[in-house]
Amino acid sequence: MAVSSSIFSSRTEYADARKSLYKSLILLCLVIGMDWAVGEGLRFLYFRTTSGRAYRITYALEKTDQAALVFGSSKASNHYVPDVFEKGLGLSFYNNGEDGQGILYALALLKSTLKRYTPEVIILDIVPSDLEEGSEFSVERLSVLLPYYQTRPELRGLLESRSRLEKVKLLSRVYPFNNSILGIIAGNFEFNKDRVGDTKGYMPLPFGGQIKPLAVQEDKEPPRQDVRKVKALEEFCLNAVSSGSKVFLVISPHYSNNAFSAGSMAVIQAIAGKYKVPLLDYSQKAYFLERGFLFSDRYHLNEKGAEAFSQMLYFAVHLFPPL
Amino acid sequence: MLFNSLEFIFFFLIVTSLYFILPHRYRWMMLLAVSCYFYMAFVPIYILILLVTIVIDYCAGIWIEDSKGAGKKQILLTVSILSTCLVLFVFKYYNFFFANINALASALHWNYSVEALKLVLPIGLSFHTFQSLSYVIEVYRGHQKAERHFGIYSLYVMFYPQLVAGPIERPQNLLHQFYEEHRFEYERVREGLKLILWGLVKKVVIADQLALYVNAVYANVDAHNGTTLILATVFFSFQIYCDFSGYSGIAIGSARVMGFHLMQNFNRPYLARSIAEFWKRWHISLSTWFKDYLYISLGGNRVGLPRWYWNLFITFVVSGLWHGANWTYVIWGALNGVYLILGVMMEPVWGSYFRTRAGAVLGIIMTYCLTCIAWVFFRAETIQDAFLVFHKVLFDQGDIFLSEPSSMVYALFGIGLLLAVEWKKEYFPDRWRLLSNPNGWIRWSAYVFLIMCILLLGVFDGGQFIYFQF
Repeated sequence: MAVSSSIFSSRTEYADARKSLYKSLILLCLVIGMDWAVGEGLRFLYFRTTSGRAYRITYALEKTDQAALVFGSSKASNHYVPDVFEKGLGLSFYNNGEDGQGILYALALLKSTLKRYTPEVIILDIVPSDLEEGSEFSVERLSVLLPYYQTRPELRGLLESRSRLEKVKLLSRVYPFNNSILGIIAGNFEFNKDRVGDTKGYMPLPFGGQIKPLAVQEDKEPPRQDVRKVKALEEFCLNAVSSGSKVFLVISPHYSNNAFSAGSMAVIQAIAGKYKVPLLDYSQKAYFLERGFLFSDRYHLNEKGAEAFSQMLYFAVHLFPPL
Repeated sequence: MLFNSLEFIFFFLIVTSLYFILPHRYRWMMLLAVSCYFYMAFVPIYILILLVTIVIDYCAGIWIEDSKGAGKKQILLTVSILSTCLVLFVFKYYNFFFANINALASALHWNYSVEALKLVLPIGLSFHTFQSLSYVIEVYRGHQKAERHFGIYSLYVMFYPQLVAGPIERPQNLLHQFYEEHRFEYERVREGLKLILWGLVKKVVIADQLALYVNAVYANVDAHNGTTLILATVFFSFQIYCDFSGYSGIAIGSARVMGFHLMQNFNRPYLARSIAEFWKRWHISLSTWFKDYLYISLGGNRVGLPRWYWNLFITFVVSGLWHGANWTYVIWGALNGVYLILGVMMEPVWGSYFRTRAGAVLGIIMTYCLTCIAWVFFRAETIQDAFLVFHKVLFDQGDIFLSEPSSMVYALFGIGLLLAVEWKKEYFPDRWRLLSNPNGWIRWSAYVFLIMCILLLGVFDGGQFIYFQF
């Protein structure tokens, strides 16, 4: 009571403070208990999914064993047809591309993959603008990997860098499954398999109708490079090359008359040169720019375009010894 | 520091604990220090801009009170208002103003061009500028004694809960509260925490979830059809409401826990039966600011009919401009002014019908639709985009764009939850209470449910509040 009397001016105030503290503790315990129960329930269901994003990511992180892998964003998942590469290269192939993800996600997947085995061929589909500050493929998007925080130590550094207090947030059991409850439920039902047309990770896109290419934009201030992503690209190349895999950096087609910024291209070329990784740039290839019908939208090829691109790419990859 | 961040939760707990631990005479110093820290978490150097505004209006208040003649008081008031507004002009309107001058000069083939300034708008500048202005005007009008304590006056402008996005307080309501000793009261703390909890749900579960869809559609108006744009506009109407009223709830709740009473900022605006009523329920602290200091100063409704309409119109145009230096905001304000004038004109004809039950329902629907039309201008990046939205709504219908089916379900869940709560509060305030239910099981289940909603469905990377940019 001695301490309380120096802080609180009346017995009522002291009693109120004690009551508040007591009730706050009860609420905290209730929330922790509920968080644990719901979180563990979701974790159980998450790792039982048989389709959908959760299934795809778990497969990519924990189950791939193919000889050739492609990493990247939606451009990777929509542009690389596994059957074409398998037939052309004579190797098993899996498409690790994921919508809305960039180099940081690719690096995380590569780290997990290399812990398990070494693929013969690694292709990284890089979007040069991903290396620029303010790119849409932000570090926040790594939230899709949060369910693996506990089980895959190699991802912890990347995941903890999402925010200053990420470690504190990850004390919650529900937080890693934030905004994924419906996906988890759907992924546990067979009906969802019909909805997702995923073939070895490849997601074909339909014909996009009449689209116009992005017009040439006036000169803007050159974008600044995101140091962290540049480092991630360098780390990707270093890890992939050191593992003994044959590594390729690819910039796949987009329907735009704008070339990517010179700064980003120079960074990619420098890193490719440093690690002696072939850089195959299809972004301004006339074959695609003259054929709008090969695109689903300005950034993605449709199924027909993906076939054409995969044919072209497997042939180029095949030319590089020792394949 | 954002209210919807984990950092803020720690900040709030530490500040509130310190507030009650410290003796009353030291509390203002602590609050001022943490408010400075809170503001400097955005762009530290901009605290100097705030300091300039504070010094100008602090001195002006004292000089106005001390000066004898009415003329001298008026000059001091004018100088103070102009100086404070100059800061606002430089940071917020300079580039807009000269971009228009340049465009005009170019259209007239004059050789005139002014370089744009590369300045980042200080966060919440319009809010604390208006709060500061309300002080000098009230001192001038004799409704408020000039504050002689520089620290307390600074705290009036900088009080962290309402520093960056209001509610825009009046000195009569807030200043004296810094002198009062607030004791720790369980019921009041609970009320404050409930406001914070519901505010957080509105922001991270509803507003930020809706923002995912709205941003995707409005970022590329050209690529979407009218049906999608209608849905995006409806979503935006709820997004902006939940974003801003969520912020206000957290601000009012944080202050309430410490014993401060800030004015109510929203009162279920989408249940308004007319545009006039909507503006009595939406952003109340700003609407009353414009009413008290601009509309009434122009003569209000105690003038001839044409002048009254003009007063209404000009007040809303300025209100639009307050929101942002862009013609889209000006049109948004003007459109609301026109709505209001039409409402006044139609009152003798339709007024009695809208007071019937059926009329009330029709009034709510009509008001909501008119508001959504105006929101198109508020949300669109350019006027061309806004007109493209209307064109597509009228002539280009098609399938609704669905980027992520699950986020659509979350968005609809959020809107459903909001509508249920608002409808209950409006029409059945004493029934089906959850957070205030006398039954502890129901009450505590509601707390846990809302917290779990935040953890499960909240968008934690949603970023800042829309109104921070103003």
